[in-house]
Amino acid sequence: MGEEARSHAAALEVLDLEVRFASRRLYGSGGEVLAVDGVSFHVDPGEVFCIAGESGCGKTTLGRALLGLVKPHSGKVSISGLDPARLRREELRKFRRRVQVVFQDPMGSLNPRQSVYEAVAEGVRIHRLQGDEKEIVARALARAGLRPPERFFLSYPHELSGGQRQRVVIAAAIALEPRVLIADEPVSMLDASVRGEILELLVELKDEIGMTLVLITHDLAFAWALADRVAIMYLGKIVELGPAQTVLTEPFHPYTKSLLAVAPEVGRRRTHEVLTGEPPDPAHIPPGCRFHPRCPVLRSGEAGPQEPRCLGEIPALEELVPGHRAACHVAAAGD
Amino acid sequence: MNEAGDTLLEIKNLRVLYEIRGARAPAVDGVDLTLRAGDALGLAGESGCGKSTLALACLGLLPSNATVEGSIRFRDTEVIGAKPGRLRALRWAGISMVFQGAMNAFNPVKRVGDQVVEAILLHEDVSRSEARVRMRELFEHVGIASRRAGDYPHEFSGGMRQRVMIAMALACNPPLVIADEPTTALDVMIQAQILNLLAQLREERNIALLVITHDLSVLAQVADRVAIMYAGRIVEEGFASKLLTTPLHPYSKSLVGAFPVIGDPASRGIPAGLPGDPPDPAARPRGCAFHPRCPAAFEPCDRIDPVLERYGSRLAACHLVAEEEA
Repeated sequence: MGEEARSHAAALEVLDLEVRFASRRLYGSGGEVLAVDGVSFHVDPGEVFCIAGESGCGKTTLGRALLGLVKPHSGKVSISGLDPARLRREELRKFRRRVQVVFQDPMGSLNPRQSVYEAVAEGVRIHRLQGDEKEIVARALARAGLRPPERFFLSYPHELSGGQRQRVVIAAAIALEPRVLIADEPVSMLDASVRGEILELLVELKDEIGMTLVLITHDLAFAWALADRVAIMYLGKIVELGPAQTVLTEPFHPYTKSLLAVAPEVGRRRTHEVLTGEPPDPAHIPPGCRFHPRCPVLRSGEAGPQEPRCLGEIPALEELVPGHRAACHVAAAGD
Repeated sequence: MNEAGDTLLEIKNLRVLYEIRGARAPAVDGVDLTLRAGDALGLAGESGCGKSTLALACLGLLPSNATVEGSIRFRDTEVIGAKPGRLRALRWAGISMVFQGAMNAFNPVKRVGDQVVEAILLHEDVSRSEARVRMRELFEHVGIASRRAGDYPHEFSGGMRQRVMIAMALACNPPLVIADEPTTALDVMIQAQILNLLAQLREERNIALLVITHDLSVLAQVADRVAIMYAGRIVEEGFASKLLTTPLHPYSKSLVGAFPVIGDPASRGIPAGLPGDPPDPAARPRGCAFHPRCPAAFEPCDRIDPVLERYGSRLAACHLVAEEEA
């Protein structure tokens, strides 16, 4: 299932990746949480690839596995031929230079007692970049839109606006000239007016340095604006994968449809049904199609003869039209 | 525009000035707003535009370095300058508030049900058992099983905690609820649930809502009217359905433009950003406060401060709009 292995062409490749955590609950027996469950995809160089889903769908864990911050249980990640889980410390350092990350909360990514210059220079030193440190830092800050860069050298995070802080985080990431930039909800804590700017910056950087961008978000409207392809995750699995154009306008999976129904948009009052209940719990994965307890198609009886399969058989991510895959028994059976 | 009889909240020429390093900087700079019973008004703008200050002023909760001018009338009560006892009576029973980040609003070592009961007992002359009955009803009403009343705040997820917060806000049947970024820290699906809940409560209990947010998509769901604030003033006001689809003011346009529309080819690509930062309240630009960032600024904008004028059902403070609509 999933995508077949691709050779050297991909900037990033994930093959049957599985990440488990031991769940430590205060009460009750410890079980295992399957955060990422058999995920495969590839991202082409220079592509904007978006991973979307609710809290608890595994999108952030997947991002961390791409960075080598969590060890997968099985499967592999390959970024320009390197798998972070199989690297020794020195190689891992080299790997980290190629894959950088921007998180949601810039305040949490910055050391409050470190000046902007130090925040950017730290990575430059760790990775022993060739060239004049001051020049590298200045160039990265200017590229991230903090101009003139010298003006910001001695500023501290608390003196900056939210947008400026996120620019510092981005500057620190791009100073290392990564091949892949993973942005985990990079704008969700920022004001609407600043969001556009930060996204514009990310895309500019992609075009300028030929960076590949993996955008992790719950906001499908931004996926629509920026992504070439979108993967929708639910409880650790990709349930739909394909071009943003078709996944977001002609979705196959009922979960994608539900997400689209609640996508934040202005000028449109929601008329669709909102899924009830709490976000899915990766410690309790339902049998069969893991979306079945919340699936509006199943509930309305439209699943028809597929119903027993929805309840008992995990649907494979199948290519339903060229380049567009979905994991749904009902969609796969056609209408 | 309003019949005096059912006006709930009337804000007139409100100014709130903060004393900062010896200077007095206006955070809210001459705002007029009216809410009638059952209204749902959205107040939107960037951080620092004064929207949260306005909310705190309505509840008499401003810090001591703030000076308030103008008038905020809630029914027959003038909030500005009201005595502490009068304000205490007003909060909860008259106006209650739902904050962002519900975790901080609860006492972490007390059961949530007890916290709601206490709020009721503080404000109303009812017995503890009556208060408990009402608390359980409120919980069911906002979609929480009443058996969870014995749980502690940390045992609730973000969305559930926000529901408890809403239950608490409703505890004394206030006719007006102010919600400051009620869904900002929540996940999409939960956000949609909470917005549905607010809309449902409004309908069932005829509660007026003042929703404060930077996220216009929230207002599309819950507000009938929207006011856009910039640098302490309202720059545009109108029906949500109209303002959010055809904004007049360049600032409103840029806010609306930051939300891509799925399926619209024009929204593919980078959403329009707005360069620069909002002005420092202590150094308001001459003329229109928005002119240094405005993509459409022209001759009078850096000289003459535009006033809020009426265009049909819409109010806008912009020279360009005045010219176009003339």
